[in-house]
Amino acid sequence: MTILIIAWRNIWRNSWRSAVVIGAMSLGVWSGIFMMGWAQGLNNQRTVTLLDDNVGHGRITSFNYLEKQDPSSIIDNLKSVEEMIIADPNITAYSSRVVCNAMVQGGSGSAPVIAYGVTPKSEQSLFSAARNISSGNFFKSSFAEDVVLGEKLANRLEVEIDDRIILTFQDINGGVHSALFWLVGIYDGASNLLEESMIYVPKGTISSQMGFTDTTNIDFNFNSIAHEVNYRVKEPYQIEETSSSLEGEVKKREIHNDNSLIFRTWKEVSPELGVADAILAQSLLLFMMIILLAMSFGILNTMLMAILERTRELGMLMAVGMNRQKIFNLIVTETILLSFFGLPIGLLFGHISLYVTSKTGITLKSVEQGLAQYGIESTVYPAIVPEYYLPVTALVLVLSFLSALHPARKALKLNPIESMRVL
Amino acid sequence: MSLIRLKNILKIYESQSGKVRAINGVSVEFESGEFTSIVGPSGCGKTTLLNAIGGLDKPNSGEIWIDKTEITKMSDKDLIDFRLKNIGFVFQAYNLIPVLTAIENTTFILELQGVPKRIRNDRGMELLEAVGLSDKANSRPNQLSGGQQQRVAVARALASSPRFVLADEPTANLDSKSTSKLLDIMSELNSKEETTFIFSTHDQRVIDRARRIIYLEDGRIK
Repeated sequence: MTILIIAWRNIWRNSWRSAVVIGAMSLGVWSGIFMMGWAQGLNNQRTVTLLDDNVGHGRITSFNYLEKQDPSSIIDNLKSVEEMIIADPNITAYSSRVVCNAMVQGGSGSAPVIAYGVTPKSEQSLFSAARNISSGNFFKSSFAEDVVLGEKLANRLEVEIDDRIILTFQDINGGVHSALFWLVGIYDGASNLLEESMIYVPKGTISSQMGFTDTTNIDFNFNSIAHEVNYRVKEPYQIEETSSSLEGEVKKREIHNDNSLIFRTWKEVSPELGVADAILAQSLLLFMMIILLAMSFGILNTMLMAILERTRELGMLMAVGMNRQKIFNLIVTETILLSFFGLPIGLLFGHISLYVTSKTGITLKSVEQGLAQYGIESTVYPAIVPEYYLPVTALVLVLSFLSALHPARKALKLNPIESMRVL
Repeated sequence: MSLIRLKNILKIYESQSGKVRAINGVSVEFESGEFTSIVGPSGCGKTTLLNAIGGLDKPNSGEIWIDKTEITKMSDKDLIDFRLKNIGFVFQAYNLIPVLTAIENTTFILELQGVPKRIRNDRGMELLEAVGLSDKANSRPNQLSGGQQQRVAVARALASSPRFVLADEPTANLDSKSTSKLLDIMSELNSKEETTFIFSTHDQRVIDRARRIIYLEDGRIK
């Protein structure tokens, strides 16, 4: 107990110097936490934008289609799957799609694309790419011979609204099929890559042209055909719960044979987004570590000065019987107290700053266009990052301990007699 | 058997002018309850001898026995523990812990020994009363005069009831009044608690009060 008292009072022997160290530590933690919240907010915004634009939060796909890219491998018993999705209170929107790898030709060239056969209303309720029509309109009917391209692709093919577009694709019988479509709309996607590779066609039309009419016979109903179902949940970062719940429900109801459906979250559908989250988390901690490492050198220097000033006193403590372990504990306790005083102040200010800016947002007018390229709005809303507070606290603790080692070692090397001679 | 026995102690220091024999073959014994002054001119080896007895400095040769323990053969780690349990120190420059109050300084050694708080506080107050500073129990060293600080240092040295107290020129920085008061206190504690006191001094006022005087010159007992 006395060691803690001595350590605490020793800190305040030179209150100005200690205040500077504590201030520097607070400032370091504050700026570090704010930068973490800022970067996290930026990344969250980018992720949410891409998820809303075309990825979705969760996806159910026919296993055979995913594995073999066989166009005939549609989701069996789609209606039951859709009923299950509608019944889930966490799911706010869904869209069943027919997926077709195709070659698009028009104007001055051709390009490989993925053509999504969609019902306009459900697709537009789910994805912003289908809503953000920069020219023309999104098709209204599921049976029209209409097509919607991305801006980038339209520019590349040099096509305009009402131009003819030819799609060449494989039907379900393995034959190559070509069909004529009319360009009715051009969408503004979240990224150039998306705009170049994804096109929309009416689900009924493409289903029929792919040959599904034959397999479903006279009662052809395109609503029962889909290769994948995309859905959105209330909280995208908790998608795992909903995905598992849907998978469990399918097995419980015996809607499908085992493993005939694949349930994936957005992190699995678009791994680069999930990986970006993980890399960001590690990068932010690394960034914080660098800030704190710089701080710890300041602490180390302060403690070395303190040892130098108290050489005589430390010599006396050893002379009267304070053992090396206790001397070591004293130095380490002082160092950790010094760091830990700055930590809560930094965390508090960091938290308040993030709380306020997460409501107001910070607008970056000068880099507006650059951010837009990546699908990020110019007003960034930093995220409150309580999940980093504990690792930051642990980092401060570890680095404080490490920065105490050298001064403590110096103190332990002191000779009581020689130290007490120091004036 | 004597409490402290020194046999043929030799301590050599290396200096720019060559080797200096600070203690040159000293053999002496101290009985329990002594009130002894080691006197001599500056540089005669008083402090070196005291440091050797206290296990703060190791002689080059010779033996130092405290009761049945030969401290010259102990490791530094064991010596720290031995000092804590057996020896009280009073230094010329008081050497109190500046951030602790008088009572905390007095009971500091007891805390290191793991004595419960209530017991050590009772003992601390008893000693501060004995040195006439019970009203200054909560004062820090910088709020005390030199004499008062040295009295707290004496109280600290006696708190754990050590086998003996080594006082290195304890009155060197004190005025006559404070010296007289301090010597009264130490003399009384020596009689009352039968604590052995060994001083190094060249202060005539201390020499006059000592019951045994050891003269040291050029590292030898005269």
